[in-house]
Amino acid sequence: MKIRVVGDKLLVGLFQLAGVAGTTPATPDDTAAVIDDYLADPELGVVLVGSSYAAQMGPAFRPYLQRRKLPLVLRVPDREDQAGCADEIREYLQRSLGIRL
Amino acid sequence: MAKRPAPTKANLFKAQHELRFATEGHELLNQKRDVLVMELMSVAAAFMDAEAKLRDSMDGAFESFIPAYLAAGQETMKRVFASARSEVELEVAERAVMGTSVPEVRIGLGGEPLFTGLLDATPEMDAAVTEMGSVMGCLVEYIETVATIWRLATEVEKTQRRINAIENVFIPESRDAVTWIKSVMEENEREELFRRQLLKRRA
Repeated sequence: MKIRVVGDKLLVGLFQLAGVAGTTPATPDDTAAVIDDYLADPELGVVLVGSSYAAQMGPAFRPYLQRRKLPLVLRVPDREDQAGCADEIREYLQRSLGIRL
Repeated sequence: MAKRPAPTKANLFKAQHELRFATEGHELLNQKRDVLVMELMSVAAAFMDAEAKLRDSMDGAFESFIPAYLAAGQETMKRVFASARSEVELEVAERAVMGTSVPEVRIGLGGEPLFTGLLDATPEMDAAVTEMGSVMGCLVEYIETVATIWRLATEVEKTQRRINAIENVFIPESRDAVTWIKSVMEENEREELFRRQLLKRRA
């Protein structure tokens, strides 16, 4: 299974050095469209989304992050935003299962 | 309310057996949920560590990559990306936790490591490539822990739904059936006794 990265040029460039291809969308709507395209690809296992791009999508990003089948969508820190998936996962576990981390 | 069975001894034994079975199942599912929650919490702690490590290693990679990117310019970077190693592949194996399969992820690095060429090679670019090696190591752990958290969370939810169904539907229905059959049988026995006594008195 392959990995793809969605984010700014620096993030995509950085991952290209390691052999992970990616896309830099222009707007949050484009970001959603790019992620949807990637999710339709059966060869992909993981889609990494730069944190600032995920933040621009707002609540629309949450369903992607809470997706449980492959390809998984993960938020990775980029140059502008250091947040990962921790807040969403912590909130989900507390809200749905009552597990406080 | 569920349809009540005919008040016979066979149905009483059947209802008692179902009640015992449901109680044992309830106990087992409770234990399964507890184990899954413990595993989930330990994986969540590992996930927090993995995320912190990924953040640190990406910071280091950006520190090296940004000066190299700015100094090299678009054309050189295109050449560098063209010579980057072929695509990495994720290899996913499975292991079981309380009957739930959770993923074990490995990354297969495709092709040869990056070769930038003598003219394009800068110390920063080489450092960025090296840093990306450790980023990919942290990324594997990050992907594996997130995937495991979602699998375990799904299983905990499923187990909790089963526990609720047994607790709120199956056990009360079986208990109700046992109580009802017993009360009807006792009533029948009392009627029978009364009838016998009446016959005895008349005789």
